[in-house]
Amino acid sequence: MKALFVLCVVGVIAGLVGAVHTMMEGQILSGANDSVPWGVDVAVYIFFTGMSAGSFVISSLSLFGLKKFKPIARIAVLQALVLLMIAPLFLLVAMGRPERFYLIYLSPNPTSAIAWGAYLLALYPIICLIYGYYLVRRDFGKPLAIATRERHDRLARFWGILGVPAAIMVHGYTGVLLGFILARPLWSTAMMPVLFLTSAVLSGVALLILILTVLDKWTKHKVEEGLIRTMGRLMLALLLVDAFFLLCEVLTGMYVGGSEHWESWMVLMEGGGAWSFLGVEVLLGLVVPAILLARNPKTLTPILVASGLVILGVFAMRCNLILGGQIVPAIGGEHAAYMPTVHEWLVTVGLLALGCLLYMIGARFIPLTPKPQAEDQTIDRVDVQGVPS
Amino acid sequence: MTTHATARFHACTMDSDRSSTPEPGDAAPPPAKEPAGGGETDRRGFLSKATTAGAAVAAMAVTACTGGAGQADRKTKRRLGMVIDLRRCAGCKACAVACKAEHNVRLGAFRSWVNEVETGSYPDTERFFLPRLCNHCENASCAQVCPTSATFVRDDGLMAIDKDKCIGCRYCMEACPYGARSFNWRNDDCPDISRVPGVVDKCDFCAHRVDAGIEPACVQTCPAGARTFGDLNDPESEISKLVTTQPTRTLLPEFGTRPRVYYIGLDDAAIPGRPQGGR
Repeated sequence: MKALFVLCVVGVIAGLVGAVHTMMEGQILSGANDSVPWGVDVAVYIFFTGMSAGSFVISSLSLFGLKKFKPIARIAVLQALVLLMIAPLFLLVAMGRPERFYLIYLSPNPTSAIAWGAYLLALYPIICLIYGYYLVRRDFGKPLAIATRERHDRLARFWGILGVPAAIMVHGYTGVLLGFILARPLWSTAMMPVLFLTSAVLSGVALLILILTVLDKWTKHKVEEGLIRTMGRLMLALLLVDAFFLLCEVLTGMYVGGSEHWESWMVLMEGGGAWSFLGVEVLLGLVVPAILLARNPKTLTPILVASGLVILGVFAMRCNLILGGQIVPAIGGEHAAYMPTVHEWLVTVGLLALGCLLYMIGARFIPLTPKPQAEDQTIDRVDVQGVPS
Repeated sequence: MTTHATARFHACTMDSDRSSTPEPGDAAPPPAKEPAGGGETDRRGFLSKATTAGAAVAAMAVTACTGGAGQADRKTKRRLGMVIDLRRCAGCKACAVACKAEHNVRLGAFRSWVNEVETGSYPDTERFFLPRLCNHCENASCAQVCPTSATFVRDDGLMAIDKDKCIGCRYCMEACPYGARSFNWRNDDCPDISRVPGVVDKCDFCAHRVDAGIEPACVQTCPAGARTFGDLNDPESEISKLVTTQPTRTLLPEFGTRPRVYYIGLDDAAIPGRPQGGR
């Protein structure tokens, strides 16, 4: 754990170097250009909001009757919160004038999806915090009375349920943000928010499985194996849905050869794009995990490997769509080119490390598994370790 | 093509230096009763008319300086537009150069530029020139998506960028189907206020010239007289006469942007990169 902590601090420092240098010199230090105005920062931002929304949805499943997910509610909401605190930092580093971001709140344009996003990015973490507060408050300070705990349960339920559409919107808006742009045929589809949301929940579950495994192995927060297997099956279902929607989009987009949609998708079907789309997003990110999850493995290893591959695949999906979509111009003919620079990688690594760091600090100080309460026998408490208190 | 309109504009620039800021008493845009395009005006006639109109428009100039908001006291709102006659364009690119000089556009970017497309093979070859710029669309995608409303349409139809509000998110650059926008990527490449770091840049129909009553730099410079600029709402203006007598086309009408830059003699083959039958 200590080694990871030190590694994260080094990563954060590296990221700071990249970010500060970029803010000083300007966006020239990124690989973006007039033809490809959005670089990998934007793709990673969308990736993080997706995982955050997915994590929140899983965290709230117990509020909809799926009691099996109650033990991981706190872990999942911490994950959702940390991811969403880090995500906007990617945007700030990608903007030309980040110091002016508050102008979106002062003079918003009601038709701009980015303006909507700015408000959602402020609202959703607040809901996460309130929901999380009512989950963990009972484990801080003096023990609460049963009536108070029940009130907190009701409030957690309220804010948790309210948080689900907020989570869907805080990631779904990025989908419509792209979908609105007629000039980019790869983006201009009603499927964009749908694809985004399915891969968001997919990546959220995958990350949660990995974090639960890490917590189980290296901390006192033990997780029942059956829960991991259930989440593995959930991931398989989500995978199939995601693959189906992707297939629909690719089929309709490429049906008319020579069309603009066809030309845009061809970017992902030949050359470097093919490696990233067919190789990573489809094969490694969808096909291989599906095979691993479809069999009923004796150990959890295939589920863990599948989770890692799914995360890689969803990351590739974000990059393929954001970056690949900018290759073909609406007018002008020549395909554009883009390659991330060292600064962009430094910032990505740095903010990932910051996320890890924040999560570790959160896990250290926030009780991720409910502590046994004083007069507990009358309360129906699902014990994380599977043994009666 | 020395029509009355261009003669009057040329007279104006010969008289005053090409300063960017309008000064009191300058020839502000004339009131509706003196049409932008027609009339029996010669240089002397213009000067006398300008003097008498000067007092009246001085007050209007104050309100006109507030981003065109004062146009409301005119009988009809102005609708600025441009016509590019491709039958005249020789591909000399003087317009691109004049524009770059006028606005100190950064290296590698153009507010207005000229595409060249060659088709066919020897001996049946053809070359097309297509001058391009921001189309100042009536239903602009860029203004629709800008989060801070930094990109906006003035009352007279000119699409402007408020460089104090732009946060450099570049959403407008994604939305514009014409690729008309560029970005100031370098913070250290901005020698004076004409170039603002970290914000988006595009053609603004030379707003500072238009507000002072002069045509945009590209229009004035074109040796072939291929570009015409003016008020589409004024039936007497040269541009209105062109638009009503010649068949015109706009670029990418299927995007629903309703551009205000019209082309005469636009051949599909001239548009670079568009699927051109058989491709």
